Amino acid sequence: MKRRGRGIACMWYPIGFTVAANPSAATVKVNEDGTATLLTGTVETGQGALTVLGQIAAEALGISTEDVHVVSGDTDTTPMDTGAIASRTTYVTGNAVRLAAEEACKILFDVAGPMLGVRPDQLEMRDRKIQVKNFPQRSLPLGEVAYHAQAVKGRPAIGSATWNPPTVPMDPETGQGKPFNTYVYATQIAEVDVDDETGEVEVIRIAAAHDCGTAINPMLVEGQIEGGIAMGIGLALQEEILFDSQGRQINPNLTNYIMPTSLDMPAIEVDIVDSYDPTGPFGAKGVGEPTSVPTAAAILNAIHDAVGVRITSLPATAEKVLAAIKAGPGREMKQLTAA
Amino acid sequence: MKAFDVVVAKNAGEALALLAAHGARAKLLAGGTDLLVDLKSAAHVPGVVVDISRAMDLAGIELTEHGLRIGALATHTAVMRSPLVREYFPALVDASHTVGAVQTRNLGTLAGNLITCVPSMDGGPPLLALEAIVTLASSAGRREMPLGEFFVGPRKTALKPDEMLLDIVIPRKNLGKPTAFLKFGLRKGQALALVNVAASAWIDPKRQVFVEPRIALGAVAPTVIRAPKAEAWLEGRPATPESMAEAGRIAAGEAKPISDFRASAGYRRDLIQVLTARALAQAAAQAASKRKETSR
Repeated sequence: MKRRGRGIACMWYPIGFTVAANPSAATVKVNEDGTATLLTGTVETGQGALTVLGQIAAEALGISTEDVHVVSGDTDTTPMDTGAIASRTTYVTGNAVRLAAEEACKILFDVAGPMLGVRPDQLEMRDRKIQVKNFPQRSLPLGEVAYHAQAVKGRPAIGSATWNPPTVPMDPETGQGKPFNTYVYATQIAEVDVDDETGEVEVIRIAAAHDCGTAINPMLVEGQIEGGIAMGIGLALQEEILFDSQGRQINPNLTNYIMPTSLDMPAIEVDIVDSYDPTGPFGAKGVGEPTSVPTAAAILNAIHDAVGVRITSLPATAEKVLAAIKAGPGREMKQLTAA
Repeated sequence: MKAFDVVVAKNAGEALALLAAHGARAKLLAGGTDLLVDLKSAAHVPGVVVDISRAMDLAGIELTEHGLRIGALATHTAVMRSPLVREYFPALVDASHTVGAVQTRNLGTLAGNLITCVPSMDGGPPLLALEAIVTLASSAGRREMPLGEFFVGPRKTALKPDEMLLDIVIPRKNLGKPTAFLKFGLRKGQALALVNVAASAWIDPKRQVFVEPRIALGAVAPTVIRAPKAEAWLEGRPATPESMAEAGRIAAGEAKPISDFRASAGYRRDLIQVLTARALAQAAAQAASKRKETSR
């Protein structure tokens, strides 16, 4: 018989470590046709980082994302990056991109001020134009100013910047310090069906509410959350590296290392919580790793709600869950040994 | 991969002639979903691969005077789409549906599933529970045998080196026999069976008892097996949850599951018991709903 259960798990997760140097750098070049080129050392691993960095540059330059050409991950031509790690790209690299774009803006404002008869600090970038704040009719196309900067003023509109969250040393006596610059928060709720005769756990639905600061690209945030939940389901129910008595892996292939397929995925409802972090680019923090942090805990809580047993070693395979059900509620299950 | 020759046979007759000429040196290629994996890893590759994938006279699924005939080239997708299979043997659709992924089902054949003869095959249990007959042929002639005798051991069948499987026939007496197939794997998609079970049975409408119950178990013995003791016990018993649970208990005792890293033998026995009872219950429910349809 299938028994339905629900479980909740909450988490917080650190973004932008500060225990050691953690720099990202970027160069933004505004071209004479009004487009821009962004150089960044970070790499795209499918998460959409380059889209988000292009959006950040576009926002700072008042142009469209499609106007930004992103050159990435090539140490011949781009700045070195600390890495697409630690859920830091949007936050750390994003700040460097925003600062680099602002450096390029400064040059363009200096050049456009005399052309529009105002001080540089009275200008803003919007709709592919440089315009007097609150007087959009007094404007020049961005490309025209970029050309003027290059060809007449001899000041090409190139900005480079580095951002490094301020390093805070740990007090060696107390172990106290400030290891990260900011934090994100999330809650996930899992609904599961547990078959009390086979131990099989089916995840029916997961609701996921995540704080990531400003969601620069909500669809990518949703994709990250869904992907993280898939990993969390693997962690909760399936994935396990097994060794024989000689320490050799028994399942070094994807036939026997079991990961979820699309058929194992539940319905997912994503809620991106409204928030703004003043230390991040346009208020953004990050979302990558945090997405898979609460999933397994929520599922294990849901199993407890459904059949009254606590599984304390992962993955909660059907065999393990059935053994716990047979042992009776309240007993703790030890790791099952491999043959 | 070592080098080998490929010869295309356009029909069954050409394939049999090539098998007669090359004997044990030859291997047949239909969907290739198992053979190509073997060719890449095996130390001994065949001298000749006889490609029968275009021998369309082997592909049909049709009703004959003997029953439902499934040709050797019928893919899992063809089985799933066949109106005849869907009408008479939906359990076979369920089994083919759990084989591999869409691509595997588009290429892989039901007959190939039987010929590779791994204990966890999904095509075997429903066919065994429906008492299917296979036709084997060589240039010397044909012979027929019950599927249970075709399975000899893990990756070992009754096929001789110069023989090929022509078709699978589910006998006419079992057309529309209520049958259920259940598979338990470590996940839902692209999973190998830890245990799979098929059960077929008629229900006597007056006495509400099992008639000719047949139970087949996969992945719990060197080959797919029947559970004759459970079948004999169930014959003539009422279709109640208690009797189905007892049949499951008996069937679990007839299997010889192993313990490995996927599951313990004890857990596999638990699964046999549960899945057998559930498959019987589903077959009984099918019988009840068919009766309702005909009485309308």
